[in-house]
Amino acid sequence: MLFRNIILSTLLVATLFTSCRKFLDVVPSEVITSENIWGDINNANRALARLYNALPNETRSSTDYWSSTDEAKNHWENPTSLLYNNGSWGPTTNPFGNWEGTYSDIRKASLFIANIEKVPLNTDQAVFYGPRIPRFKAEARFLRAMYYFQLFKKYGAVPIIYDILNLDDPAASQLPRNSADEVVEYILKELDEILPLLPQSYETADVGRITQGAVLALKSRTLLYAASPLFNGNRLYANVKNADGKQLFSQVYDAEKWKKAADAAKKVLDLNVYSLYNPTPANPVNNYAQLFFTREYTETILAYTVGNNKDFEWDLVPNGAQFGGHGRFSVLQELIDAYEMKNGYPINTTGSGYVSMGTWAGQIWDGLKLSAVSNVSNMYKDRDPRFYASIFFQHSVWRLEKVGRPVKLAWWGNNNNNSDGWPKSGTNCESGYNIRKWASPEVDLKSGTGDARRNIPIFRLAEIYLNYAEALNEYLPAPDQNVYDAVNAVRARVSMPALPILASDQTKEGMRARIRNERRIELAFESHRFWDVRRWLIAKQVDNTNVHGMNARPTTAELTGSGFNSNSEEAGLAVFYKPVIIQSRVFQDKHYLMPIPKSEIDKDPNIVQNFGW
Amino acid sequence: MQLTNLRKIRSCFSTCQRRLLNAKKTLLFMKFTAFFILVVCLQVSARSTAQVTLSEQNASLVKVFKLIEKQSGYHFWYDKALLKNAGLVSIKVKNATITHVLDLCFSNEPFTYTIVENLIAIQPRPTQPVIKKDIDLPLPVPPPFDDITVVVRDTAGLPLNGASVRVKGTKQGVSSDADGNAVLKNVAPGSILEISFTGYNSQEVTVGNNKTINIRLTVLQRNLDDIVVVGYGTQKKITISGAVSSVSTKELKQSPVANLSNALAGRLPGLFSVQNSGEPGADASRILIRGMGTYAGGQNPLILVDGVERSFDGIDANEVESITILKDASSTAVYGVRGANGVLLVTTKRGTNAKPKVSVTLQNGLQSPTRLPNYLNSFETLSLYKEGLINDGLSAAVYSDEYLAKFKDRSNPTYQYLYPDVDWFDAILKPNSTMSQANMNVSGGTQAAKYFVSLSYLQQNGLYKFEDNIKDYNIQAINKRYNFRSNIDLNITKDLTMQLNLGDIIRERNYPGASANEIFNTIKLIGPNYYPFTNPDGSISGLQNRDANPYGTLTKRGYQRLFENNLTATAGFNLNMPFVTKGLSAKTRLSFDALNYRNVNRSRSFDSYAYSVNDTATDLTQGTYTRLSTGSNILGYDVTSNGNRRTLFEASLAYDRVFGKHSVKALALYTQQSYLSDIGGGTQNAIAGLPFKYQGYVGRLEYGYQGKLFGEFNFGYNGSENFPGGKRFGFFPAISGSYVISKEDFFKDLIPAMNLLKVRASYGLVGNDNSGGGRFLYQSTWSITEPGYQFGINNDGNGYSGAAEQATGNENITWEKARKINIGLDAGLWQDQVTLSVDVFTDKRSNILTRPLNIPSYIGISNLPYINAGVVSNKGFEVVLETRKQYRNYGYFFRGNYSFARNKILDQKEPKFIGREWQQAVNRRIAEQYGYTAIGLFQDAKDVQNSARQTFGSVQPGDIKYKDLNADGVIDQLDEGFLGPVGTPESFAGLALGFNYKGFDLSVLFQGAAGGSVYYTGNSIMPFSGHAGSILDEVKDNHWTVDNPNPNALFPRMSSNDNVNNYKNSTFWIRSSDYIRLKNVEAGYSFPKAWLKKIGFADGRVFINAINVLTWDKIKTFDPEIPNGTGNYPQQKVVNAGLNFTF
Repeated sequence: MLFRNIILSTLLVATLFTSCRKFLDVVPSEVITSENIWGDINNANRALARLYNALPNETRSSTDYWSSTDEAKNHWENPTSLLYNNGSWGPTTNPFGNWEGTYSDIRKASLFIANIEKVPLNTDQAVFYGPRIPRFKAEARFLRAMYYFQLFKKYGAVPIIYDILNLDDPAASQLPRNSADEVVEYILKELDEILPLLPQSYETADVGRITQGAVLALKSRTLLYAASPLFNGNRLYANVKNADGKQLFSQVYDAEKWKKAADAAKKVLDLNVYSLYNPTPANPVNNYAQLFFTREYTETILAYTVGNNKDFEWDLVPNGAQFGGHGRFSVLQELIDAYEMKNGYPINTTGSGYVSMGTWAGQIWDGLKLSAVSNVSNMYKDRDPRFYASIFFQHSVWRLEKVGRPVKLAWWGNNNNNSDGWPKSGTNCESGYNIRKWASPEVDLKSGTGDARRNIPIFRLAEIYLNYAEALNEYLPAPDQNVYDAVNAVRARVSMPALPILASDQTKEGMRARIRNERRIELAFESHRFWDVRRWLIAKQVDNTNVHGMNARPTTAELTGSGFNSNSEEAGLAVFYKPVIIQSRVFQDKHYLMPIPKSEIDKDPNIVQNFGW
Repeated sequence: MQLTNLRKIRSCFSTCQRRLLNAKKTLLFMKFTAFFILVVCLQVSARSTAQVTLSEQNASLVKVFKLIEKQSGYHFWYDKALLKNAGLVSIKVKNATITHVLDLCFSNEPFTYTIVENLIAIQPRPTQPVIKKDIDLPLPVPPPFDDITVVVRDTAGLPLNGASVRVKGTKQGVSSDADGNAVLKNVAPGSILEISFTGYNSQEVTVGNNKTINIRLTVLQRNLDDIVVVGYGTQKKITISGAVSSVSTKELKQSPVANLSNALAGRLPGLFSVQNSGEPGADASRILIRGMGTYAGGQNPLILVDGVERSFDGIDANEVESITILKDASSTAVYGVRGANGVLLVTTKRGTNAKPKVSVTLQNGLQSPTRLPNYLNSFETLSLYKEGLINDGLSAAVYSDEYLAKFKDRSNPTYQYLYPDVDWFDAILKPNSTMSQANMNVSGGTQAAKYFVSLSYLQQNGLYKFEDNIKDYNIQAINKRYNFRSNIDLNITKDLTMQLNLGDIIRERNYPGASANEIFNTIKLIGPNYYPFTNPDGSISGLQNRDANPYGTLTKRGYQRLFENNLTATAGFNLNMPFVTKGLSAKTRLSFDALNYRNVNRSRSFDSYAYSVNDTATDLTQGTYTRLSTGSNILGYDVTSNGNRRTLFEASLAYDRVFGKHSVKALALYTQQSYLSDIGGGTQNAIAGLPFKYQGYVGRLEYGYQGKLFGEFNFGYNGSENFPGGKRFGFFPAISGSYVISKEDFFKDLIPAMNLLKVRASYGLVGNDNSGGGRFLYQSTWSITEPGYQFGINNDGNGYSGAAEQATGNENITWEKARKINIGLDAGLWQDQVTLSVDVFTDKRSNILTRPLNIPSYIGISNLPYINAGVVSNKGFEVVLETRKQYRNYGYFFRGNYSFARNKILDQKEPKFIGREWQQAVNRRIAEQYGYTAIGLFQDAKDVQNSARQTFGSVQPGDIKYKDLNADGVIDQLDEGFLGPVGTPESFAGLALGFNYKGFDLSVLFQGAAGGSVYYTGNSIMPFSGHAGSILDEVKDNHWTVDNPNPNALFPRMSSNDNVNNYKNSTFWIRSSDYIRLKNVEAGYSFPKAWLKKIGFADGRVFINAINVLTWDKIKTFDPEIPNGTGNYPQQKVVNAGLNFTF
């Protein structure tokens, strides 16, 4: 009995002290640490891919850049762009700011740059990767420069992070802002250093990586921005200084900045690698349109590459059941009016031949073929071919045989799903125009078949021509032939007559207007305009005003006053062709540069705020 | 036959010995398996539990043996010659054990017996002289030892079954039978007998001349409180120096709820509970102990059922003995790194040493929503819509008086389709639904084994209509639950006991294909005028760009069936070790819980059509149907099945002994557990799928002096796998003491009325490792599945997924620490007729896991590591006042409790909000509402002009005006801030009242909460927001209008669509969630016992009870316990009737 009890007791007590020491060691060995990344070239490749993924691409990631300036209005409920339209964005609400995300990308790039050369390579890998590693590093440095360019154009002067910051570094939360010129200098220095390390082109499988052309193109754009009125002696920013009195924005206008910008653009043109895409010279509409649903690398210097998709089509194509898109944007009448006549005259100049009343019948390229149209307003007659490639307007056609009817954006009460505008329920096109640029005719949204195969150009040659023309025109007392040639190169692709045409084209100011308009048309819906109106300091005019569209949402009184049944198509059409205000926009001086996020100033008292915020 | 049996016995003995030998060898190698083998062997010598009923006068022993053989299945083996000398026997026993009967038969016989398996061997009694039995003849000398029969009854004279009667100072003892009889053999005269019974005062009696002793035990006042379950053990209430509260099964059973967590509100001081939903099977309350002590980590208490971490939601109240909450450091320190949020202990019932007691409870209830919002009809809704259109400057021409009138006009058969007016709540929900519960449990036991077995069934039905007329499947929300429990205690030897607890909860639930959330949302959003209930042909109606038809959503989306099996099993051994030293015992247990589920989702979608017809038509068949949506119309089949499991091992040594005036208790325990969650597959879950583990030591030392001074030291030394190696274990000590002043002699003279006055204090450190932020926060990790990039001329070249820093680790990551101080006082007056208990506490939680919000983003680390930096204090108090009195025929009680806790954030690693102090979280309470400060409604255009510019869309008279906190003339995010009110109430109170008269009893419970608030928000409240078309009826007369520009109206002006300005979170929409509820009512009648006895029952009671009977609050539209917004499936009021009987 006693013996048994002792055994039992021993057993029970023994269990108390025989606990497994390793019991809590469930340490996950399978987690991926930085050693795994910089110890394996395949993972390092991925780190670089992540940087490419962060390549700023405003056209793809946020089409609201278009509707946040005088190109379009996003007529959906409470879109991002509404904040920018009514001026209610600021230090706490700035969806385009991406301050934190950009600095996070900068860190990612810096980590790559600091570590890529340490990646061990075995013999086989060394043969392949040996020569590529310096190039990878240069690619990452380009991408980091690109991220800084983003910060520069948004905020002007920002802290430059030369080292990789760590949490336990007390100085890491005390940095002041660098000046705008320093940021530009830093970007240029980086670009100059990496240029010789990069090739002019790549093997088929690596197309899309950074080339010398991309480096020079970024240089061109950076210098163009830096020379622009916003950053070049802008007196508005005289008081934006660090605590130690350091001026963050140069207060002296420097014409040489334009010279540098022109030279940088010329460098790209002189590469002789790129030429304007010109697949169907006889069909200027298609010649231009195809650029936006084709993967091509003759004109495109750097693209954001995307897989086959229907993204733009869903977003842009009209909202009628026959079309199947969402028609998210109402194009502004202001942009429509900016398209010249095909004779090269702006519509409001004498001799343009522009007629706003009456209709015409004829043929329009519907994406697949020339199709007959009728009852088209004379407003849309004989315009710049890019107009037809970029805009859906009343009675224009799109894949007519497949769709079965022209675009109908005028009011039609009893539309029975036969129109694309009001009063379909929900929110619909308010201006009478949708965006056609980017839409591929290969995509059939109704059946869900077909995909667009496109690049989203970040830099393309046409921009460089226009950069060159602009910089040179600003530098010279009056435009010379180089200026005309550069602009005409872009116009020639769409069969637009060569400049000069008007007398004013011979003056610096007149040519400035021409170049800016050419840029507006050629680069429409490519997220350039939002920034251009800022760097030209014209946003306070164009974005601080009423914007217009056709009368697509008439009042009941107007409809009944038309004499037709107020729910009929005729009634809607009768009151349609008249510009009406669709939005009243607000832009103040402070809006030219973005405010540093309030939260960042709370965290680092050395960061001073931008003008007006 | 007799020889064969002998051989059997021999072989059995030798097998047994051999097994024992084998076992001894095995013991050297194995720990646990050995135990089980041992148990098998030892059972051979264990006494049988068969029971015999005899009533014989002067029968021969042989006859008695035959009768016993017949009843028990035992066989006698004996030499017939031996019985020749046997006398005749008179015996009357009922349900007596074999040994008892044999002892009675043989008490004066010259033989004795041995029981081996089912054989009873009769042998001559070696030492006893053979005395011929002669009843008439007085014995020459009084025998030195007598058999004593003790009859145990209660004060009413009813026999007590299972009372323990033992001879003091010996191991001899026996339990009373159903007649209250306990027979002790050979008791020396002058011995002291101890008679005790759970729930009654113990008595001692000295054996005199009477062979039959009648004992009447008096009922213990507050008997259930006397022994309190605490962490890893029990304590006598008087010795407790920490803060502990408990509630017993009797009170829990008064609440007819399917979820046990809903029965606790108002019952326990220090317990804060909020029930968010009433959906069958998904209606658990959120429970907090003493409010919230942290803003980042888990705030929920550790919940243990029978000492194992388990959910108690699904446990049947009939299985529960008590629920205890541990609140202070002294009581929670043993849980160490897991104790900081308090601990809730659920203890299930166990058997007692008594004959089987069967208890059956049957009940049926009716459930109905505590409250449903009322919406306006079509006419009223559209009138308001028209008002909104006009306010918005839009054309309201369509909504002419003539048009609106048609929504009320039902003169033409087409009108109900063209101008619908549907009350969707009415159309979709039944006024009430049923709930049934049945429980049967049996408890009892003998010296050798005690048991509690229970079986319950619950069916709770939902409120949806149409459960019968959907042809192919059932869409009703149904929660069916089967509970099984078997708690067994075996006495293997005198000192070794084994425990085996098996519990199983099986749930079968049925739901519509769409979630309750979706169904209730659509019911609440769809305007009465949007579309008819169905189209004339019965097809589902609809309207483009509006939510789908609720009828279709409910009935045409298929169904879900959810099966779940939750098995909990615990086996353990307890060994008393008097052979080492008196008072020492050792215990081990092993627990295994597994929850498995298999959820079948058979979903489908449906066609919907818009019906149109000329409104002058009278023939509905003339109309046309336009297809709006196309459904699959075929049931899909999708199965999710997974499970989780938890294993727990514990071993402990305990010591409990009294030395004169000093009492000492000690505990040393080792514990380890491992938990695998039911996380799904995929490499992204590989880390999350790793087991959660805990390991640690627990120690407790209790000291008592003269029953008036008590001191305790508790500690937990434990850790989890979640922290870096070498930094996993924490030491959490607590000390406490109490002083029972009333035990002092001077006190009795000082305040004679006060029978108890006790002060308590405790101080200690506890941890919370559930500190939020995920697992293994010490590790820096990279992800290689980030968004990447595809190169190639046709986007088909080299492609890579992205690699990026995922988490930056903090190598010093650790748990939250809570420093807790508790001071308490217990008082009793007039022999506990009035009792008062007060506790005051202050907790300081530090090391709260916090993202450093003061690090600028340009550092570029996207996921800044967590640091242990936050500090929160939490202070409060609890008061319980109770009075009860029982007279001969009637009695009453009153028990009120009030709890208050308020926290304050002391540090949160925020940036400095210079000039914007209202955005600073520090010095504010956890989860304060955040938003704008509303200062009424704009009165007129001038008011708008003269006020700060509001940046959320255009503003006009009747819109909400906000306070410009930073005085910059603009209302923007910088004017948002903490507003003061918090989401969860800070005070909870309960008031229970009861009265009984003879067999009748009545009790009610009022329960209330104060100090909380909700945002009165969401599309179903804010008129016409987010395509909502249903308008609360309170809007009609309580909104700002041009004619009645009341700047203090409850609702702003009407808008025809989302009004971004007005629907911002602001003080305008904060409503106090304070409420008082008549939480619980119960009336019962217990049938007279004497009467019941005639029909074979011991107890019988019928009762009616109800929960959430009445509510007084400020919200009126929805239940006050709803979360922000409108809540989903409504909380339920249940009225329930049932009966309980035992035999």
